[in-house]
Parts: sequence; C-alpha cells; structure tokens
Amino acid sequence: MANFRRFRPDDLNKFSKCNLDQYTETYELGFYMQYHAKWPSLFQVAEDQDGNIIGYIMGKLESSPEVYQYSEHYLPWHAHITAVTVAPEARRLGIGRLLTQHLEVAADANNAWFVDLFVRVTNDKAIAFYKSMGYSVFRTVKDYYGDHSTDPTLNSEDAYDMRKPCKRDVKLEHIRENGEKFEVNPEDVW
Amino acid sequence: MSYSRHYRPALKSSVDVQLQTAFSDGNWQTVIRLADKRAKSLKDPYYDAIKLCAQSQLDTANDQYSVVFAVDDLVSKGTTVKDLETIELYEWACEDQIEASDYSNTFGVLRSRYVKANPRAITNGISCLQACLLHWDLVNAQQIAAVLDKASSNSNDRRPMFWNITLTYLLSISPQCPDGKQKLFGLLAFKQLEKAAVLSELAEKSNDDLADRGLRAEEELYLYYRVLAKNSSSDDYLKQILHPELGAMKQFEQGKKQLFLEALDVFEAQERWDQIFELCRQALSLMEDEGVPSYLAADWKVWKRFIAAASKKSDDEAAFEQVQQLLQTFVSTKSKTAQMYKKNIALAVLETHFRLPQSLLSSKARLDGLSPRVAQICLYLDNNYDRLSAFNDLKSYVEELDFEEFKYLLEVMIPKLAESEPTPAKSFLLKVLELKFRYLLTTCPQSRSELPSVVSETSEPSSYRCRFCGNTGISPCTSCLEAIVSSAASTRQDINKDAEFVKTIPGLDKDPRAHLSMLIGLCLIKLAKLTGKPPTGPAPPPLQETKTFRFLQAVLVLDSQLQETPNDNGLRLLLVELYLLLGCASYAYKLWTPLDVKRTIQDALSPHFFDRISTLSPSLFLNNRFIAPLWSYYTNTLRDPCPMRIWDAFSTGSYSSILDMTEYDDRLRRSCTVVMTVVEERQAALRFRGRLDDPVHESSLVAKITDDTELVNAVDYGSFTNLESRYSAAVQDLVRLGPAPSNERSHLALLTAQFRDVIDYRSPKDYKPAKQQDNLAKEHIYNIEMLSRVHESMTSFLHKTSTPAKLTSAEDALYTFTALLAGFLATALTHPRTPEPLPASIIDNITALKTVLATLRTEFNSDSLLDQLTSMHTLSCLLDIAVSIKHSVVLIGTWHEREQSRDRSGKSGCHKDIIGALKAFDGLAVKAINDVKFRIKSLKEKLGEGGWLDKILDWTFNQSDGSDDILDKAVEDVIGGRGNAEEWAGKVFESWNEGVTGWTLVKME
Ligand SMILES: CC(C)(COP(=O)(O)OP(=O)(O)OC[C@H]1O[C@@H](n2cnc3c(N)ncnc32)[C@H](O)[C@@H]1OP(=O)(O)O)[C@@H](O)C(=O)NCCC(=O)NCCS
Repeated sequence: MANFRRFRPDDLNKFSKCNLDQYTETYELGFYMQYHAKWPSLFQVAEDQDGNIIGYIMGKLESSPEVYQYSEHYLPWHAHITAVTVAPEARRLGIGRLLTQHLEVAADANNAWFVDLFVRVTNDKAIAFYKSMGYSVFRTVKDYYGDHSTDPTLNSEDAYDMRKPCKRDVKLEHIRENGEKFEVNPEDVW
Repeated sequence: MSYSRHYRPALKSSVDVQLQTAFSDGNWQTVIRLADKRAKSLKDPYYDAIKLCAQSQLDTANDQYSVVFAVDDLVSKGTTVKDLETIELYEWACEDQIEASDYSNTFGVLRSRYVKANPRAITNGISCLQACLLHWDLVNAQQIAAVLDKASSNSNDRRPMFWNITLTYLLSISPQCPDGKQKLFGLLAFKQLEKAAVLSELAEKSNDDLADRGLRAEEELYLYYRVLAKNSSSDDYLKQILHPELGAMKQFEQGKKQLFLEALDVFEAQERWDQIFELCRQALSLMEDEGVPSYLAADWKVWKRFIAAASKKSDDEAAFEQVQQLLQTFVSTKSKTAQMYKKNIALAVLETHFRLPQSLLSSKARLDGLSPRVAQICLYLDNNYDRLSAFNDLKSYVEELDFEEFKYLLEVMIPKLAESEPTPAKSFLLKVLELKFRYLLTTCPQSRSELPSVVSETSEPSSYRCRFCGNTGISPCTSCLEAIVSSAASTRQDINKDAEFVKTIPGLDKDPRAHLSMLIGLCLIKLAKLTGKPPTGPAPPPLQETKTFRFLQAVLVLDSQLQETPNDNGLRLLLVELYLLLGCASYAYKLWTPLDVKRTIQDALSPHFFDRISTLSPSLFLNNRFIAPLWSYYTNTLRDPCPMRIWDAFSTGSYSSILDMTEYDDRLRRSCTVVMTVVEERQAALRFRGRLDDPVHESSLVAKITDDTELVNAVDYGSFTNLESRYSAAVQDLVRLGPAPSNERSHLALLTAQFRDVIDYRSPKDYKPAKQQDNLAKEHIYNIEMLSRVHESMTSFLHKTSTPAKLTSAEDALYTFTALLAGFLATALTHPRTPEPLPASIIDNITALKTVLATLRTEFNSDSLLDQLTSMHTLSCLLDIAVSIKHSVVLIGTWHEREQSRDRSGKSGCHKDIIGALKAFDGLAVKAINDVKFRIKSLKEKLGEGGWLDKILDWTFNQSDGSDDILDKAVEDVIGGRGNAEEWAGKVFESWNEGVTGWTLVKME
C-alpha cells in the first residue's frame, strides 16, 4: 500500500528501504535540499503504511547554461530526471511509472520540450522501464560514470542519455533513431 | 550566497592600483601605510576600514582585535556604514574573531541599518538578506526583508513580500524571537497573509488584476495555510481551507493535492472527523474526463482516514454505504490502473470489513471461524500471496481477528487456498505466509488464556495456556515456536528438493527460503528467552539468563542464509546487531561495511552499528577511517549556522520548503547520532591515550547543546523484518545491546565526558604562568563549579522516572556513579578541614558510591567463558568507573598537598575522612582495574588454546534437555549439516580473538 506526496526533509530518515539497495546512490544532504528548495513539486515520494519511503523521484526543469547557447549540445528548456528509485519489495507495482508520469505532467505544464535522464548502459531493468514508458536513447555518453556497476576492474561506464518528447515537441524534433550510435563525451553534457 | 569562507574580497575599483596590488598580494604593512595616507587625504572611512582589515591579518592580538573594537564601536554608536563594501571588508576581517552567534549583534545590525538607509538599493539589500540568512540571523533578516518588501511594492518581484512574511513567521517560532514577541510576530505574518488572501478573493470576483499583493503561486498558498494552521482558531482554518477559490479542493481539482493532504493532517489533529469524511468523499469522487474515477486521492492514507471518519459519523450506516459505493466505482472501473492503486483499493475493501458497524455485518456471519473478515483476508491473500509485501499488508488485520477466526484462517483457509489451483510456487509461498501468521499469533494476547496463579491472588500470573496447541507455559508459547521451527525447516528442505521450483526462484520477489530462515531465526531468538528491556528499570546484559545455545543457533541459521542471499539488507542489519550482542564487533563491522551506509543516511542508520561500539571494541577506532565518514558528514552539513541550501528556497520562492528545511536543520543539530559520534570517538580515544586535550564542550558538533536541548533519536528500523504484533516488542528491541539512543542517555554521556575533562586535566608541565597562585585559585573555582554543575545536571536526568529504562544496567551504574562522584569531589574541594566528623549526607554519599560499584562488580563477575566474551560493555563501564576514581584521587590529592604547603596551619586542604574515603576508593579502583586486566589476560590466554571450534559448536548444539533435540536437527538441516557450522564457528572465534587482542592495547589507568 502506498501514498504519493511531496518529499519532506524528514523523509531522509526513512530512506533505508530504497537507499540500501545497491543501484541507488546516496547523496550529501545539500543535494537533496537543493531539489527540495528549487523544485519542491518535482521531488515526490511514495511511502508505505509505516511511513517508510518505498520510492522517490527527484527532478528539475532547466535549460543548458547560457554560455553553451551556440553549442550543438545545447539543451533547450526541458525536465530532467535526476534520480528515480523504488524499494525492491515495491517494484513492478507501477510506482516508478506513476512517479515518472507526475514529472512528465509537470514538464508539459511548464511547456518543456522533453524529459531526459542518464542511465548506466548495463542497467537493463531501468532501460526496460524507461522504454516501456516511451523513452528512447538520444545519445551515448562515453565514460560518463567514474566506476562500473558490475565489473570492479573497470573504472568507468557509459551512460545512455534517454529522452521522451513532451507535447510541445509536436514534430518530434528532440528525439532521434539509433541514438545509441550517437556518441558524445562527458564534457559535452552539462 | 557566498559559501566560500575566508575569501578575500576585492577592493572598490576606485582604489588606486598601488593599494589594490598590495592588498591582493597580502602585503599588509604596505596596505596599512597606504590606506592610512589615503584615509587622511581623502577623508573616506573606507580607507580606515582597509587599514583595520590589514591590521587584522598581523600576528599580534592587539592588531587582530582592533577591527573587532572598531565594529563594536560602529554598532554601539548607532553608526550607519555608508557603503556595503566597507561592511564586507569588516566582515571578512572579523570572520575568525567574531562568533557566528554574535552576528545578529554585530554585522546583522550594520547590514540592517545599511538597508534601512538605502531602501532603493535592492541588489545590495538582497545581498544583505543573504548574508544574514547565511548566519541565521533571523532578527535582522526579517527587518531587511520588511524594507525590501516596502521598497519593491510596485515591482513585479513578489518575493520580497513573501520573504518578509516567511521571516516574520520563522522569527515567531524561533528561539531568536525577542521575549514576549512570539505571538505578535505570528499574528503579523498571519495578518499580512490574510490581507493577501482577501485581495486574491476580490481579484477573483472582479476579474481584474488587484492581486499583485494577493496569493497567486502554489507556494504562497501553502505558506498561507501553514501560518493559518498555527495562528488562527480551528474554525477559521476550517473556513479558509474550504474556501471555494483558494481552498484545498480548488487546488485539488487543478491536480495539486498537497494542500488537501495538509488539511487532512490538521483535521486529524483537531479530531474533525466530519470534515475529514467530507473532504475525502469529495476528493475520491472526482472523475477524469473520460468518466473514470480520478486516482489523485486514492492513496492508502486517504482511504484509511475516510473509513475511520465514516465509523465516527453519527449515522455510520449511511456513511459506510457511501464508502462502499465509492469503493465500488473504483473496483468496477474498466480503465487500466497501476497495480499499486489496485492494492490500495483491495486493502480499503478489507479495511471497510474491519470497521463496518455491527448493524451492517452480514447476518450469516460466523460459520465456524469463517467470518466475513476472514473471507476478505483470504480474498486478498489469494490475489497477493506472491507479493513480498503480502504479510505486512495483512498483519494489522490478522492480529485483530479473534482466536477462532485466527485459528480457522491458519488451519483451514490457508491450506484450502493452497489446494485451489495448486502450483509449487503457490503452495510454498502460502506455507511461508501460514507460518509467519502462526508466529504472529504467538505474539498476540488472544492466543493464550491466563492460568490462575497458585501463589497468591494478587501476584502476576506467571503461566498461560496456549489456546492454539493447548500447552501451558510462559508467553510466547515455546511449543508453538518449536513447531514453527520444525515446520519451516522441513518446508525449506522440500523447496530444495523441488529442482523445478528452485529454478523459478530468481523471478520471485524474494527467495522463500530466506523468509523461512528469518522465521527460524526469530523463533530461536524467542526460544533463547531474549526478553528485551524491562519496561521500567535498566536493561541487564541481554544474554544473561538466556538459553545461549538457542541464540547461537539463531545466529548460525541467519548467517548461513546471508551467505546465500547477501543482498538481503534486513537480514544483514539484524545480523550486525546479533554479532554485536555476541561480542563479535569486528565481524559485525565486516557485515556492516557492504551496506555502504554513507552521507545523508548515516544519521538514521549508523547507530545500528556504532552505538556503544567503543564499549565493545575500542580497537576498531585504530583504523582512522572507522568513524571519519560520520564526522565529516556532520562537520560539512552543520558547518554553517543556517539550514543547507536555504537561500535556494528563498530565491525560488519555495516558502513551504523554507519552513520544512528549517525544521529539519533544527532536528539534525539535536540528533542523538551527532552526540553518539562525538561520544564514541572520545571514549575510544580515552582508551588509548588516557586523557584528551580538547574538552568536549569545544567540539563544534555539540558546543551548542545545553541541558535543555531536547535530543532526538531518528534511527530508521524500516528495513528490519517485523513479524510481531503490536502487543509485542519489535525484534530490534530484543536484540539491541541496550535501549535505543535517547535524549537522556545522550545528555548523560556528554556530561560524563565533561566530568572526565575536569578530572583528567593536568596543566602542561612547561606552563609556568607569572601568577601561578592566581591561576591555581581560578582553576580550583572552575573545578568546583564544573563538578557541581555536572553533579546537578546528571542527577536531574537520572531522577527522571523514564531514565533508567533508557540505559543498560552497566550505564546506569556508570552514570549514577559519575553523578555521585562529581558531587563528592565538589564537596571534597569545599568541605572545611575540621576535626568534626563528616555530616551524614557525605557519609551516605560515600556508601552509595560503594554500593553502585559493588553492583556493577557483581554483574562483571562471571565464571562462564561465554558470558565473559559477551560482556565487554560491562567491563568497559567498570573500567571507566575505576579510571575515574584514579584520576579523581590525583585531582584531590594534588590540591590537598598544594593547600597544605601553602597554609601550614592544618586548616586548609581536604578533610581527613574524605582523604580516608578516597584512599578506600582508590583501593577499590585498583582492584577493579586488576580484575579487568586479569579478565583480558585470561581471555587472551584461553583464546590462544586450541579446540575453539569444538567448544563453540558444543555451546551451540547438544545443550537442550532432550538428547535428541528436534531443533538441533532442524538447524542442521537449514545450514546443510553440522560440518558447515565449523566455518561459522571459525569466524566467531576469530572475531572474539581480534576483540580481546584489541583490549590488550588499552591503557588501563
Ligand atoms: C527502475 C525502477 C525505478 C522501476 O520501478 P518500478 O516501480 O518497479 O517500475 P514499474 O512497476 O512502474 O514498471 C513500469 C514498467 O517498466 C517496465 N519494467 C519495470 N521494471 C522492469 C524490469 N525489472 N524488467 C523489465 N521491465 C521492467 C515494465 O514494462 C513495467 O510495466 P509492467 O510491470 O506492467 O510490465 C526500479 O527497478 C528501481 O528502483 N531500480 C533501481 C534504481 C534504478 O536503477 N533507477 C534508475 C536509475 S536511472
């Protein structure tokens, strides 16, 4: 059973079901607070009957910084999924999808062009999850992560930058086919 | 907001190049000379400021402090500094000299004066606001915001108005608020918002743009309602929250449910059930365009409150009919719905059956135990048995069943469900659930009937008859627990034999064998008679008077399960606690590390491992990365006095986030985990160094904590398996080394650390101040004051009736002893040295000290090797007492000798009977230290002897009365034969050995 609502800082004391899971990164307090401060309605949680957080999404709305305006990698106004995670015991109940849909609705309401995110190329479950909701790979960012999730002998891993167009992108100009083959370097993403 | 501290500011561009260069090169003498010249010729006070700043960078205290005096002068004379650059220069120069807490009396005042004098300089005003917020100076921040609000009333920027309101409100609930003004500020914030609300309403009606100073954005509304909830009558709140234009439902219809949820919380606190019913009904009745119900409100909490409210209505029948009708629209909808919502609705249906008024209960209820409630539970089970959460979803309902229903569910219905359309998965998973529910029953009062006591009518019943198996005994029922272990073990075997099913396990939510092992482990913990802390007194050593072999079996079973399912975090956390109990701290650390508890989640999770760790195994701290992550987390997070990222919330206009972040920051600074970090580290350092140089009250993390600070425990047990009913202690309460962190224990630990600072202090040898006598006299007065204060504070914490239950018995002894000793030492330093005998109160104090020590020694003395290995916590507390005595004797002895040589009349110094008592204590301390040393030495020797694996296996098996113990057999089955236990025994032995070896390095004085 679950409740969906905005994140509150004291939820951080109830994160263990999500954050002890190996695929979920734990950040410094300032990082969570920044999202809660700047985009409070895009940081949503699902809680169980005991108040434990069993899923959350952190998102933001932004464009690339002005200085990159003329770069080919410049990103216009869009929503970004910084983190989405669901506790193992609550997976495949649609919680991840509901949280993501909430962000997509906000993206449309704010007239964004698309929603995007980064995911490790080996995170098959998450990739399947995003694809099931209409996201596709836009580009591959080489060596985006400084470690590898499955092979400890490697010290980097590529990311897929995945996207889903918003209503504003009527002509579907912000997605592409075969994005996997379109490679960029970490310096090209901001 | 400038987060980079000590960043040298740039000088105004009008300053000449020569001075600029000298300043940026840090060429301070030149800066002083040049600035002095310019000040004289240009008559611009800015150059005086540059000069003072340059002086502040020199080495002598006089130079350094001249800037502080200058600032004080500006403040006290009411001067308004003309330009912001000057203030910034001063602020930079004073960063190390003026405490952050003094900001509101220094720079906050200067900045607020500046803004008042320059209301149109909006950018500078905002930067002053930022600076005050960075220093969490709410008084001046509020004043600045008020000026900014006024100055920008015609601009498009609405934020200053809401900054002003938010800060006025924050001030009203802050300790910084001037005395007696709390109400006034609260009302002020409220009135401003109320005015804004009226403007919005008018604008709405007249369709024009009156609402510039009205409420527009979502966050502005949230602020309004938060302040309203705090500062208005409950009727006013009600009226406003139901407001057709601004209220919760209007927002809800726009797809925003935050306000609706907040309103439900407020109504629940006010017990306005009719309103809850109405609000929930409206929200749950909302339809999407396509005629399907909206799921926006279909949260579990909303359903639960809706149903609770229905049961409280005067016409509850009609109310329940509405609930059921609404539920029906959700149940019968054809639209594709998330599984999660289906689950919420299924549970709401179940909830309804448990809350229906008697009159609506079906008349054909209760055929045997098959009540409608049981039937509903079975329906849910049938649909969800393969969900990991099925047990937790149903637990609170099942435990409400009366005994006949419960029994029927277990014995008839669950087996029946397993037989309908049977698959191996269904029958195994239902079997697991059946066993879990049977375990749950052992923790419920309806499972037992009391047997009349034979001793006396008034004494407590010691014995029960289990209504399930008919056996008599204590609760929980031993034979039921044994039966569960046997059945779980054989189910586990059956699963292993079913190769086809085993192949499908990776596709399940969780390996059912892991559930079974956990269940077996929990039963064995109960069978070991671990009872948890008593409700009132201090908690004795948890393994004392338990059947340790059952406990060892539990650890063995769970450990072997973890080897198979290493990602089972709940299991891992439980094992960490179990190994700590077993005295295997280094092995617990090995299990703890892969959990990767880091950064933010440390506050809630690190006590699982770190609480009391220095008393178990101080040598773990010799690894200097051991507790460093906790330290660095708190030092970084709490470095600035303001809540992290608070300016982000101000600048984006996230007013409700500002309130939340402030509350969280305040909580975090009062976290018991912060105190734990400081105390554990110091305690371990004391073990190896004997005394510490930096007093605890100077540690930045706890410097602001006073006796009145309410310290809070926020440990997260969410990942622990909880199969207990609400009538029974949760497993973590049974297996923790002692009571959870608490306000009382944290304060007592801090005060004990302060006590140690006083008695451990020795003036440095090469320190020969000119006025030695004066200094010694001051030190003497300081000691008396500190000791009296520690004594009083500790005594008042110890006298709270709730305190003993928050301590282990060893801590109770340590803190009681410390409190008494502090008082005794203060007396020793002040009681006149006369021939008269000591008054009775002092003699009583001496007796009490002896009694406490003797009690702890009794706890310490044990011949059992296993007890000795698992009672390092007791040993540690005993050692603390003994070392405290030794240091106290030196403290008093040194003073006494000094007094005697200062004044040869025989009238100064310590009373002879006190000297006598101290000598006696010293003897006791020496004896205790010798005993501790001997204990460590003998353990070390014994661990050096061979045969440990056999010994541990012997302690684990063949200990029960029956020679052919079925539980021994079950445990062996689970771990795959006794041979596999050897490796485990090796790990246990290794960890004991490491722990004891660590103790041999400890300084015992
Ligand atoms: C990825 C994740 C958030 C999905 O959450 P979830 O609540 O289980 O997902 P949902 O139930 O909403 O799934 C929606 C759809 O995604 C797809 N999907 C989700 N998990 C999947 C999996 N493990 N394998 C294949 N498809 C999957 C399915 O199509 C699913 O619909 P269905 O269940 O009706 O078939 C969750 O697995 C998770 O927290 N993983 C760890 C953290 C992580 O990797 N986060 C992403 C980092 S970028």
